[in-house]
Amino acid sequence: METQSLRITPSSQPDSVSTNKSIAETANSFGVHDTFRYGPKSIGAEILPKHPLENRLKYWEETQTNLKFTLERRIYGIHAPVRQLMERSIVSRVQRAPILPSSNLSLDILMGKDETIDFEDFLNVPEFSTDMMDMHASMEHKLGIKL
Amino acid sequence: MSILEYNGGAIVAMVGKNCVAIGSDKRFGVQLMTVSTEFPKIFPATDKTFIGLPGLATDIRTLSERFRFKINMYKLSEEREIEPRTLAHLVSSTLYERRFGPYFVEPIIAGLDKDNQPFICGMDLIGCINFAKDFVVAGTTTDSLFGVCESLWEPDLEPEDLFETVSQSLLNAVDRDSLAGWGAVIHVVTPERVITRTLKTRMD
Amino acid sequence: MATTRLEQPKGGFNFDNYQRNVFLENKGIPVPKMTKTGTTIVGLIYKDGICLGADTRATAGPIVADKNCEKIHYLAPNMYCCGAGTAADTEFTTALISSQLELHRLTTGREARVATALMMLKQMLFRYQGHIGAALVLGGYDVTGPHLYTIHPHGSTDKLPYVTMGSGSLAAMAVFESKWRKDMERQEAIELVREAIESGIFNDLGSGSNVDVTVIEKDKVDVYRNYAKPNERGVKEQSYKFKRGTTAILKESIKDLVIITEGIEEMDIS
Repeated sequence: METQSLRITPSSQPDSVSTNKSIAETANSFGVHDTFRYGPKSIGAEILPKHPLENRLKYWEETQTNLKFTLERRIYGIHAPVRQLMERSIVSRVQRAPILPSSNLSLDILMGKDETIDFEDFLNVPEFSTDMMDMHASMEHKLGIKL
Repeated sequence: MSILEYNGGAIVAMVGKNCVAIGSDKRFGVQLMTVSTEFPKIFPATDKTFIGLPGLATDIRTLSERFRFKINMYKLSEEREIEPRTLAHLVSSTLYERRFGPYFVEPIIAGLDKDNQPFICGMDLIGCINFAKDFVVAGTTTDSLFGVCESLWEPDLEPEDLFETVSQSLLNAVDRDSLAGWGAVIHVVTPERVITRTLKTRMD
Repeated sequence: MATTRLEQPKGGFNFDNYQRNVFLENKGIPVPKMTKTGTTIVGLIYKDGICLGADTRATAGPIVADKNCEKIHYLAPNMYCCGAGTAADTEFTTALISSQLELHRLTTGREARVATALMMLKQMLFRYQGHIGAALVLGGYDVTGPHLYTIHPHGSTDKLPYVTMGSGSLAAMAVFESKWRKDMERQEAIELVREAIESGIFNDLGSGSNVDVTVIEKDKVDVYRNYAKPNERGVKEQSYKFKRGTTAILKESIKDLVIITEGIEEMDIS
C-alpha cells in the first residue's frame, strides 16, 4: 500500500492472482512447495474468487492508520507518525512465542482499542484456534530467516 | 436443491413439564441413495443438554467436534458445566463467525438448566437463535414437522407422554419425507435421568 | 484448512468456507435461506419522547420460523433499536453496539448520546458494505432530548419525526402519513404505533403475530412486550395425547443423574 495515500477505505478488488499467489511463503529449502508442511497445493482453489469483503476487512485497519499517519505527517511533520510507529514497534516486541496467543494490551492501548469491543474480539478468537502451528517455522518466519 | 437436502435428516425438540425431549432420524444419505442408517445427529453436550445438528453431514462432523472442544474448554476455564442458554450463545457465535461462508447446519439445543428448568432453542445456519417455549424443528422435514408439532404439542406433558408426542410427531413427519427416516432416536431429559430410546420405524 | 500457519490467526470473520460454498453454488446448489425478519418496524417522536414498535414474526423463506420473536433490542438504558433484515445480523449488530456503548459509558462516566450510537452503527455497517443486512430504527432520549433515526444496511441514515422500515414499511407509513401530528400525547402515540404495526401485520405477508411497543421518555423506559395480540390462537378443544406405549421401542438405555440410596445412614458422631 502507498504510504502517502489518502484512501479512506481499502480497495474491494481482491489481490490480483499474479501478485498474491506465489510459493515463496510455502517453499522449502529446494525452492518448491512444501507439501508435508502446508498440505497439497490447489491452483483451482487459489484462483477462485474471494469474498469481496475479505480484503476490505483485512486491510481496513491498515488503511485507516495510514490515512491518519499521512494527515499527521502533513500537519505536524514526519516526526509525529514516526514517533507513534516507534512506540507501537516497541510495545509489539513484548510478546510470547509466535505460536502462543499474546493479548498485547499495551498495543491495544496505543491504538485506542482497549476501551471498545469489536467482532474481532469475540469471533474467531486466537485462543480457540485449532490450526496447526509449527514452532520452528513460525519463529523463522518472525525473525525473517528461512531454512 | 438446497445443500441442506443433500444428506437429509430431521430433528425435533419439545418442552414438557420439568423435562425436555429431543429426537432425530438416523439416516445418512447422498441425495436419494441411503448410505447408512446409523448416523447420529444428536450429540450430548453435558449430562442434561443435547445439541442436534441437521444439515450437511461433513459440517455435522466438523461442528460436533468443534463444539465438543469448546464445551470442554468452557468446563476447564469456568470449572462448571455449561448452561444450555450459554451453550446456545456459544453455538450462535461460532456460526456467526462464518457469516460470509457458513457451515450448512441448523442446530437445535435442548436441555435442563441448573434449576432444572427446560430450555430449547433452534438456530438458522448463521446463528440467529429462536428461543421457543413449545417446540423447535429443523432439517429437511421442517415443513411437515411444523404442522404435526403445532397440532400435537400441548403444555405440561409428563416425560412419558412427551416421549410419545415427540416420537409420533417425528415418525409421522419423516414418513412424508423421502430424505429422512430409517430409524429414529429420542432422548428425554428429566432432572433424575436421561432416557434414550431407539424407535422402530419404517425402513423405506 | 489443514495447512500450517506461521502466525497467530487474527480474530474476526472467517472466510474459509466461502470458496467451498461458491463452488457448490456454481454447481447449481444455492446457499440455504437465512432467517429474515421480513418485518414492520416503526418509530415516532411525540410530546415527551420516543415510541418504537415492531411486529413479532421471523420468516425463513415462506415458512414462519418464529411466531413471537423480539425485534426491539436493548442498546443502552436510554436507547432501544428495532431491527429488520437478516435476523442474525440485527441481533449481533445491536448486541455489539450495546456492548460498545456500555464500555463507552464506563469510560466517560456519563450516559451515551443517541448520536454516538448512530455513528457507531453507521460506521460499522459502512465497513461491511451492506453485506451485514441490518436495517435499523434507532430511538433514544439523551441530554439533548429525544432522537429518532433510521439506518440502512449500507450505512446511510435519516433523521425524521416518524419513520418505518422493513417489508411492511409502506403499510405502516401510510398510517403515519395520514395520522401523525406534532406533539401527540403518550397514549395517542402508543395507539398510533399499534395501528401502524397492525397495518403491517395484516397487509404485509412478511410481518405478523403480535405488536411490541417500547416507550422512551426522559429517565424512563417502558417495554410493552406483546402490547397487542391481534392474532391469538384458538384453544384446542381436545387433548391429542397418545396412549403410553403407542411407539414401538427397539432399545432403551437410561442414565441416572441422581443416586438414590435406600435405608438410613448412621449419623457421624466422631
